[in-house]
Amino acid sequence: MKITLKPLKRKDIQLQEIELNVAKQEVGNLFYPQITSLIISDKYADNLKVFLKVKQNANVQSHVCGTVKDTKLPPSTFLKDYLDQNLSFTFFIQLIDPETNGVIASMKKPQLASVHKILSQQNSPINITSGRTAPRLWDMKINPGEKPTIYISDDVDVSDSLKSNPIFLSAILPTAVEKVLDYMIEGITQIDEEPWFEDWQKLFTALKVSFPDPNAEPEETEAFKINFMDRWLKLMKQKLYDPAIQNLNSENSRGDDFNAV
Amino acid sequence: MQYDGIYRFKDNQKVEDEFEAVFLYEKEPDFSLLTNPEWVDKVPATNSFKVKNFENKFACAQALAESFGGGSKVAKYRTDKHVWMWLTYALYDEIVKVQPDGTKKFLRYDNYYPAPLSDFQTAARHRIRTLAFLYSKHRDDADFILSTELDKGGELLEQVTQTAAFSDTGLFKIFRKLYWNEQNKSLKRGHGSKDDLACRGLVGELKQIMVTYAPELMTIDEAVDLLDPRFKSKWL
Repeated sequence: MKITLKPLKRKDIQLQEIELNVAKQEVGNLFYPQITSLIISDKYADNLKVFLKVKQNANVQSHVCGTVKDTKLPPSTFLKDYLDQNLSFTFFIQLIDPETNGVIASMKKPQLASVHKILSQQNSPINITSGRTAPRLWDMKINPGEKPTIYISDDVDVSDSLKSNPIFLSAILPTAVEKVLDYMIEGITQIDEEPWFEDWQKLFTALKVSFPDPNAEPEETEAFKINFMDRWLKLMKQKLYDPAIQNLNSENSRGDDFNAV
Repeated sequence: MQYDGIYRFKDNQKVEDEFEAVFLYEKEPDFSLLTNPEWVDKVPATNSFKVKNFENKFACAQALAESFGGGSKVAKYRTDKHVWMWLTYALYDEIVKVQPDGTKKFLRYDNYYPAPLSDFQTAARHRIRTLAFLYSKHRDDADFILSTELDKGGELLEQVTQTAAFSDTGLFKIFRKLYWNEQNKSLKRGHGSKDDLACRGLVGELKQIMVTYAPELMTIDEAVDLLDPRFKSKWL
């Protein structure tokens, strides 16, 4: 069992106590995200500093956004170097004692902020969004501190509909899920420090499987992986596989040739 | 060799193949491609760029910033893979050194090929792009981390760039304060050792402190005072 010690009695800021909105900023031919609103619940002491940390790829920036009582937005150019086409970044807020610079309250994990809507970003174990992946149709990234994300090539004009297309999802999700499992098993000793691991724990609970202990034997982790994939694929059969087959067969009956190159 | 500006390779398979042949399969580079309009386009509003035997990464980063038109302009090209490919190719002789036995020492391909920034730990190993970003963000304060030769890696560079949080200016300066000898303009002996108080140990120490404090908001001295006192007594 993991016990978290909080010697300074640091509080967890709940997600519903924060609202951060982002818009697209355009300067010449450059685009970057701009934070357009930031609201912090007034349940915290007025004088606490609102310390915002943002991250896109390896570029971390921070800014003190006033106090709880008088929250101020960062300058409009704050994210001017965040030029990734996704126009997204992760953010993390801490409330800081102005005297000691001690952390009084903190978000439990970084959250994704994006100009674009991202499918089920809050509770889904995997994010799906558009990105530059060519010549691959899709790609997947798992970076420390960030939820595993599937990128669909931004050359696809209808990427939003592809995100819920059963044929596409049936083809890519099993590979993607296996990749995440391998990542979790490889970093088994620290994986529970990943903010997104909670979402996977919920999935494990729902599927009645237990993630192995850090000192588990390789055979146990392999058995867990096989067991999880079996159960998850059964769960997905109705949601993805069956609709995909139905879709493919109906397409074929219209005479489309899927073997054509 | 002096170029009248910075160029970018064209976005096509021919370029990918050439780059791979040179940096993965050790083909001799053909520097004439770097100004051949069939292969490259000039990046508008950039200044001349002279490839020379740079004393260290910092000198190279300064020259790059100047050619881009200022340190702040570098970030604009952060995601432009073909600019970094061109610069890497142009700086071939600086980053691929001939060994005493006459052979050339190549590192992993991602030291030369600009990996997508979303894979930041791999991307951070790029020989040229990373030093340009570090200078662009920290300017003269990047002197300590860029004090080694272009073809050398370095433990400090590795440790700082593999944790995204340390790109924040406040935290970055703590490494400089501890491991840089301001008078001699050199890294302190032992900064990259396996000792708990060397840079690898500082990474762990800072990560722990950041859970309960915001060292980014403190003065350097206040932040250093939060560290295990052995850091201060050993390095300051």
